[in-house]
Amino acid sequence: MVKITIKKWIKNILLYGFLLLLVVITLIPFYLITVNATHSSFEIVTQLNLLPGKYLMENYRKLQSYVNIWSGFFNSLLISVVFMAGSGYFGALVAFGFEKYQFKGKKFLYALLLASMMIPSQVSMIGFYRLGLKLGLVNKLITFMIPFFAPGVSSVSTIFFLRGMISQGVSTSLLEAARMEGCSEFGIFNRIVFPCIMPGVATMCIFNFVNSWNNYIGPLIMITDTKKYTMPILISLVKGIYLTNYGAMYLAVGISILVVVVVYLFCSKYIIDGLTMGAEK
Amino acid sequence: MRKKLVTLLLTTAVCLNILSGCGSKPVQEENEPTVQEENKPAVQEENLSAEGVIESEVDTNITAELNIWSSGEELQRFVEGFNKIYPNITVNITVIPNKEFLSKLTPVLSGGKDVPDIFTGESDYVKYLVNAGVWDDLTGEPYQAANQLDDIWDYVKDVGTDDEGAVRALSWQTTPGSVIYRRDLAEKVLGVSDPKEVAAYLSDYDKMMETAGIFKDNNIAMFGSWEDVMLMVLSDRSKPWVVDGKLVIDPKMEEFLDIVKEIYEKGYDLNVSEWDPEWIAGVEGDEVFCYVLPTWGYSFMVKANAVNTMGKWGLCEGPNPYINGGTWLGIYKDSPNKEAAWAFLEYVTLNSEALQEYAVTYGEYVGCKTADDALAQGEGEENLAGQNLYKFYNQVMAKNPNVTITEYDGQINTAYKNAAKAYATGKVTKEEAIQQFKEDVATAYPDLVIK
Repeated sequence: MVKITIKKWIKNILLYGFLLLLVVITLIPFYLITVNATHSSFEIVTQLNLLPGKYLMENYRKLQSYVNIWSGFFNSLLISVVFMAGSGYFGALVAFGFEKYQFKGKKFLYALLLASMMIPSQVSMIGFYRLGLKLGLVNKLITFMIPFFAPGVSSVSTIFFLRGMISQGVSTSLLEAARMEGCSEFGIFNRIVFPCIMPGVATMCIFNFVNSWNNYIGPLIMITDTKKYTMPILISLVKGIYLTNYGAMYLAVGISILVVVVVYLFCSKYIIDGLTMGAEK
Repeated sequence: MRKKLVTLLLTTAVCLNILSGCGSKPVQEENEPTVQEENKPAVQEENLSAEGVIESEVDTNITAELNIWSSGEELQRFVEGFNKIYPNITVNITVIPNKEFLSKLTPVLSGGKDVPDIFTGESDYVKYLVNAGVWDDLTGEPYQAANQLDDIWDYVKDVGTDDEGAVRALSWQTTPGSVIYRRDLAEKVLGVSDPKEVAAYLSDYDKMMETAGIFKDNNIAMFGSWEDVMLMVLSDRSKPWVVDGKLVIDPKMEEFLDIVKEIYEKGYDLNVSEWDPEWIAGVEGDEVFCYVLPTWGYSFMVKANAVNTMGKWGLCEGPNPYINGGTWLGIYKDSPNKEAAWAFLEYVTLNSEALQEYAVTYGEYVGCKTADDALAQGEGEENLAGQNLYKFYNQVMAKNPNVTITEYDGQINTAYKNAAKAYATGKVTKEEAIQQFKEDVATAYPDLVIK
């Protein structure tokens, strides 16, 4: 008996020790960003800072003197939230259409959609800009709220992921039953399919949010009005060409990752659910 | 029925995406003539009234909204003074990170709509923009700048001039080089601290390396990074990287490889790259003797970071005079606000008084000769222990450092640095390093002839 308990103890210590190590490794970058945000540039370049310094307000003043970080923050937030909601709902709608309806050219259209995933957004940059120009979307925040227009592949991957989910998790007989009861096709999606794949949608929403939050080159090409600049562009501006404001940079990065951390903190449950949900329901 | 509707919608959406990628040419063609037609009358009137006269007689009541894209913050500093003369011109400056400047500019230029009236070009790619013909010729209509260019340093003019001789861009700054050294360390190790006496220890590259050895014996690294030294060597060449479409490796550049190897092997630098945190931190420590950097390196890096070492710095000349870097600005060829754009460009690059004021406030060496001359009469700088940086840089400019800037410089310099590093660390032989360099250049610019 005693032997077994000791063995178990050792096993647990090893296991938790390993997990603890992983936690520390994961947390170190976040900790360093936070701590460095409170140090002057000089302290950052000359020494390793482990304890908070006194330069937080100084860094903040410096940061604000270069850029208005909060306007970028709210621009990014606005874009990301709308994009997240839109890409989640419409992504599910398109996935539903592709999975459960038969129509001419379905395979071709789906292949086209997948092909667009393979093209790096840098390649299509000029075309993307011209399209925006024609549609009058240059220099407008709304450009990045329209899921299918965004240069990132996130919305296509949403469709791809959710189509798989629908095929596994929503049986055709379920839809037929609803149809027999007189539910409209749109109603079927809203009342039956969408709630069924909610964990998947939530997962994709989080990924889309983070992608949109981090999108740098897209807004940079399309937006010229400084007031509409998003967070990543502002951080890049803080860096400057010749200037070296590490403290202010760390602070800006810190503010930027705060949102992502909060999103993951509250939604990690959905991510795990969504990713691990199998065929059985 | 519904199925069909969904299909139809999707098809249209996809087709729209594909089709709108191409075919914006007609729009561009429609645009150009109208823009020019709108412009011409106003422009000609301006010429009649302002031909060959000094600035005070220029119409200052122009009303316009100028859009300017800049890769740095500096232009914003001119706006206040500019608006005192031209109160009705609204200047909107958008700062775009330098790394992505061309990525952002290219689609806008190809679209031909919403192009900024003025945009900047950093030294790495300014030649490309100058020769691409996207900027207007400032000596032509409606600017007639030719008679005003005498007051500008040749470097600013030459770089802004395209292969046909049209001046397409100007700058507010000139960027002659210096060896920015620590007076106290020089006194300690060499027993002298005066710029002239220190310069004697750096009179040629052999002597410079000898001096580096003396500093090494005192546990002081001569340089922050060998990459600094390359800025100086680039002006030691007689020919630029590319002549008539052919890659030229000057013998001086090959000799430089051995200098780099010696610096690396004997530990004459901090063994870091430029702009690394350690490189910057060297300003405040006691382990770096000098930084080989032009004007911008002094004002943005050394001066900006010197707190404890305030007043301990000096500027002297190295083995050869050199000049490196800078930001130019030009007016977009189809800008609808050429008159106002020229007013701004003229104020920023040619107005000696405005530039003096700017230089006094921000400590930058400017592109206008009379402004630099006037400032050279003034008092020296505290950080330089009373040395007058304008006077010093004027002397460098008087020696006409070789200007070797081409539109290929950005990538070629990077490739050369990589080759030098590989050779210095002993990974490859000298021949292999040069071969690798040639291959890298061939990959980046397939059109160049490489022997």
